[in-house]
Amino acid sequence: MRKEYTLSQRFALIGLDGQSASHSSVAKRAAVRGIAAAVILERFLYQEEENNGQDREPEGRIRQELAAALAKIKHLNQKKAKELEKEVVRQLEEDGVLEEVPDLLGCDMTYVTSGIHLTMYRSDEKIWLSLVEQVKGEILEDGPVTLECVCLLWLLRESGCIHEIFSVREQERVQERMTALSAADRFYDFLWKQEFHKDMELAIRSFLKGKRKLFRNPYLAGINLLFPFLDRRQSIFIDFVILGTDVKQRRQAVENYLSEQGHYVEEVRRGNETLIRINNMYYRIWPKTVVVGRVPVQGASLTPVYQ
Amino acid sequence: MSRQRSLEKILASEYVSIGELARLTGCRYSTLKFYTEEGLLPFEQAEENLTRRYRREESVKQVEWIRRLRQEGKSVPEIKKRGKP
Repeated sequence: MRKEYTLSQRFALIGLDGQSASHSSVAKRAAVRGIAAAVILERFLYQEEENNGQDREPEGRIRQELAAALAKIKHLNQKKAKELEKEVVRQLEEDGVLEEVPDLLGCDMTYVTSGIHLTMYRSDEKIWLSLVEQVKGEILEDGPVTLECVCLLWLLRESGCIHEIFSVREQERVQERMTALSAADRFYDFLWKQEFHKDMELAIRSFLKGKRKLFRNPYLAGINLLFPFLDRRQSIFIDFVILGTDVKQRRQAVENYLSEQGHYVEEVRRGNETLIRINNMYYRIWPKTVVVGRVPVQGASLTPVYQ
Repeated sequence: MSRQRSLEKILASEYVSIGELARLTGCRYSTLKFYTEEGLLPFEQAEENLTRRYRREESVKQVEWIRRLRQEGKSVPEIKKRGKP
């Protein structure tokens, strides 16, 4: 990554990646609220720099203002959210690091046959990887953690992106590190306690917490089976003739189809299974037959896999 | 509460952290960690509990060299035998 991106741009590159560009969704709204929070945090970072870290008490004026501003994000109206999204997308598109491509969901048989055209955002692969790996390198490794890294982690947590980046074990390590950092630094403690979830999402999260315990199982070679509280990706079904094909041919058929639709597709070996990496995310492929009316349709189902 | 170094500062410094090395090379953190544990990526550590730091220029060259050999189909043990670029 050769260019310095602001906190909101960095978060947008991670948060908007794979999200619908043409339609609104719960996950995208959470990501846009994250961008709004990042814009406020940028102002705070600038003020902290100006004050040379003098306003470090939790009662500090800047922090009070920050808490009040962050609280307003919960009620960010749709018009403002759309304007913010457009603005940040415009900046990143001009830099050539974010693009609008046909949505993966649009490759699902139901959408294809309905003639619905969907688009999604796709971040530059190298920039995305560089941003994510730098955060991982800082938080998972012993040693000091920068303010920018904690801010980004908090934004990722609040917008439901954390499970897409960290594996189950890594998430536990992040929690351990953040507990230790919060005990040592009052600002980290203050920030980590802030939330800009919607109440509805919180309700869904608490409901899923129970489910999460049930599914917290480390089988399948370290693949994350935790239930994310926001569904940022969906399973899709692609129809083709599977009769007489083997696993490799089915995988190839899916890869060819998705490549034709403009997606970056790559096979990735993980343990004893092969996953498909589509754009920046991983999917597992299953042969499947769905019945439409009375007609069985053969094909394959792609299910999101978390780290 | 430390602040993130700008790219300019990173490029001017002798040592970098693993996160900064990931940023400079575009390599995954887990991959860099693996190379470090395999002894392919030398690091310095003042005391046992302190952060590992890498010599920037040498480490970037080493990562690029490993990456090239991996693309040529060499395995990690084979690269280990070769040692350095």
